[in-house]
Amino acid sequence: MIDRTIQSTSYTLFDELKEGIILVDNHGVICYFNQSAERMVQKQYHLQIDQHILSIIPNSGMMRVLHTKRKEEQKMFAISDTDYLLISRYPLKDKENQIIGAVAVLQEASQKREWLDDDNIQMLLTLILQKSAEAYVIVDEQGLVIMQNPSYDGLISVVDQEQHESVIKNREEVFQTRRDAEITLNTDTLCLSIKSTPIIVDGKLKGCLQIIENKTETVYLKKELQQTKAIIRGLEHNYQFDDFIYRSPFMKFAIEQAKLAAATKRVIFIRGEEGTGKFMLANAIHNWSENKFKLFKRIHPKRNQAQLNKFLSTNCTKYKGTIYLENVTYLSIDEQTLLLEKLREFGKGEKQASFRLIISSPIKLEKALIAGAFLEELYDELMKTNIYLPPLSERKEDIYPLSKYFLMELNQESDRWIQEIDLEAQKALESYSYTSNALELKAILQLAVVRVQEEETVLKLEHLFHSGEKKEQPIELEDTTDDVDQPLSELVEKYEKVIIEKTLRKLEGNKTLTAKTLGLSVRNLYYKLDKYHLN
Amino acid sequence: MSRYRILVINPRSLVTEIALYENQVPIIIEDLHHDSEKIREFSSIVSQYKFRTNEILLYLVDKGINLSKLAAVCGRGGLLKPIDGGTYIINAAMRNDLLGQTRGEHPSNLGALIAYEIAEHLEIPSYIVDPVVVDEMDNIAKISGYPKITRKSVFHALNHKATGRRAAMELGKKYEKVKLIIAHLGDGITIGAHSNGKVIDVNNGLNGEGPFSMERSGTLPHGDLVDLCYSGEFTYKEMKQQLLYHSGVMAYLDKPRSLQIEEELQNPDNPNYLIFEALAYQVAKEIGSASTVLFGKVDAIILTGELAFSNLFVKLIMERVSWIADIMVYPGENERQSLAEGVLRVLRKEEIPKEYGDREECEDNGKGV
Repeated sequence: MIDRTIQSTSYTLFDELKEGIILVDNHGVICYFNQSAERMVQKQYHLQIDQHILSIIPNSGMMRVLHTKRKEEQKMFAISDTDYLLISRYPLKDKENQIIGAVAVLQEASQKREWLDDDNIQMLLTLILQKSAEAYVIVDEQGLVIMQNPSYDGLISVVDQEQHESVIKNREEVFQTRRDAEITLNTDTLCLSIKSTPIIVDGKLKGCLQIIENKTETVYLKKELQQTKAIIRGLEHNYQFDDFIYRSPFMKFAIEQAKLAAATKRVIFIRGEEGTGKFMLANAIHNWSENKFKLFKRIHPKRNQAQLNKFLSTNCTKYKGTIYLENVTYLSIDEQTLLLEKLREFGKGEKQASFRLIISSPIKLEKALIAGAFLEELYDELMKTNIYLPPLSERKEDIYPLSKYFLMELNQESDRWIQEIDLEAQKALESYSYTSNALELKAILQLAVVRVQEEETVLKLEHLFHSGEKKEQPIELEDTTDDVDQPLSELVEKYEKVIIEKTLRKLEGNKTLTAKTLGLSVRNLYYKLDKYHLN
Repeated sequence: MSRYRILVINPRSLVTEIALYENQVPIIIEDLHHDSEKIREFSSIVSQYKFRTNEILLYLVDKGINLSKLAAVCGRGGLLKPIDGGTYIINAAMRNDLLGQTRGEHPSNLGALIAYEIAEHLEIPSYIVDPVVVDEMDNIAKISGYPKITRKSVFHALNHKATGRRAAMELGKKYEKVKLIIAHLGDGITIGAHSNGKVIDVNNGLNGEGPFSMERSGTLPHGDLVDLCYSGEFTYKEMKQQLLYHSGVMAYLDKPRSLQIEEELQNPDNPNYLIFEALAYQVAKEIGSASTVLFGKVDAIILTGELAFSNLFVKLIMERVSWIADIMVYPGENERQSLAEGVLRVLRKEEIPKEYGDREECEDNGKGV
């Protein structure tokens, strides 16, 4: 009886405790738990009298204590991913030292994290800072360094004077504004992202924390990925406006014009010499427009005669995507009349048109106009929305960036590491007069790269042209406007002759090299030399 | 030889598997993972097709691929009405059946819809190849023995057909001229008798015919099954789930899916050995039964699918069936390659694409037994 009274009194007392109490018998069945215990575990478990502890808390350690008869003190126990309890478990023994049960005392873990005092926190912070890959530095209000980590030491040793000044300046900005400051330092070899935060205690500025992240690798990889994508687009003949490389205002103007035109459904006319990027621009307009997921159809009047006829004779509404009609001057007068009708029809139903039409010409229409080979009305119609792509001779400032880009491509193709073009070579490239613009520039560089030794990183004048031949005036191709009546085979032969002659002269008459450059067998080259009387 | 670029699309519940082939050579193989939240926003599976189309196109454009260079687009065939095997041009009748979900809802229904959507704008043809509903079963095979139940042809048609063609080529014959027994040993197991290019009989692995598999039960004694169904232990849905996902090897071993069959078969004293041996035994038995469909005139027995990667498992089957015919093993299953090859045959004019017709036509073929 007295036992009972004591028992019930102590149970009432237990409910007053902050600590949780769980009591199990020698089989592990729960005999008692207090209110604190219930509250501590209720998120995850629902305690019940007369239930086996393992059926309620499957990973409970009570059975272990019953088995080992040893006490366990201050053990961490995870209630959930974020909540922990500190549990002490004691075996309960009778006079004969027989186990009659066990008791668990539960404490909220946060109460017990007293070891996290100020000193320990500082030690912990230092540890985190030391091991961090990011560079950290803490300075006091005077600008004196209080703490810095090894990453910071490493980083500071590679930056130059100017960059170091920027780092200091960034801190000073924080002291002045008492706000976060952020800058990015970007050079050819290094990219740093610097962030500074004021340390304010009780409203007073006590110092500044500066975090420097070295993003060089990320930036480099991003750049490389972009270059690879651009190369794929080049191989796929699938361009974007970003693929144009230029500095000149003329080109910038042309690209802006193209972007504006791409937003409308107007017929676009692109003028520009061979190799100025007419196809590229037409394709970029297509990929910029809402038609980008549709077909881009290229029609060359001579090569795709059947397609041209079909296009000129069928109803416009059948087409989707973009139709790119190149070399418009190749059209006969009859075909031009048909095209004119089509353009007028297109102009009327501009908004309903299911497709976009882009037309181009490599030669000045005015010449054909004067010669009577081109319809004046068609000319007027075309000039309504026209974009002019200037030749390289009109935008010499683009030659250097273009060359650098081509070299990057050629480096990958031929396993070279050419990083720079020396001043002499730059000048030579700029003063050269190109017949087929960027195409020819690329061809020249292609030849030059073969002459560069594997270990060389700079392209020099001697690689470019052979002595005495620099700034050579290339053979002008005859204006093909007058040749429109000639069959294609004759035109091709004419062109072939010019190319062979030009290459041969460039390579100082070396026939083996000429054959190799042009992708011919030596025998075939000799045959052609004979045929065109080039001996 | 012409080079054809083929875009292949195999939609799954949260992923769209795509591949870009140049003839048989894959240039891009990618699984586009979709945001599950976004997918859940759609009221039905088919309504996702514009969203998934856009995701595919954006991906390809980002990679720099010139869409105008594509020659054809191929989608995984969905739940259509029963049709002959082969490559089908995607037409309005097919799209209507898929949009209307007349034969059921499944992510593969999106394949044809997406393929058509992309191809139409590029003015190129779009196809499906050997969908799961391929039905070339002989009328005699459709008789179940109980008039209210007709046997149906539901099997891994794409892999069966692609592997059949591959094997026929190695045998130096045309697929249309050989008699083969093909066992697809994957998540489900289907064993088909291929006679002159047609699958004249095959077990319906999804519906409890044939051998058991890793997770599914095979044929069960129907008396006991009926008793179990009415025992009150399971609801209709639970019973179906039991048979499809909680039977087979896994149910006996009570182990997770990642079980390595090759490891389990290393030691005959392993307590699990008997179960795997039984699996091989039942597969062999089904192959034996298929050999009678072909009157014993079998050019080759072909084992394919994931389980065929296990040499020991293959050996167990071989011991029992090698007297029937030579055995050829093509482990794994490459759905995207099979789809591309199906389209390539059509583009190269080696095969004439079929038209998905209206229902009457199909039933005239005697498919409605």
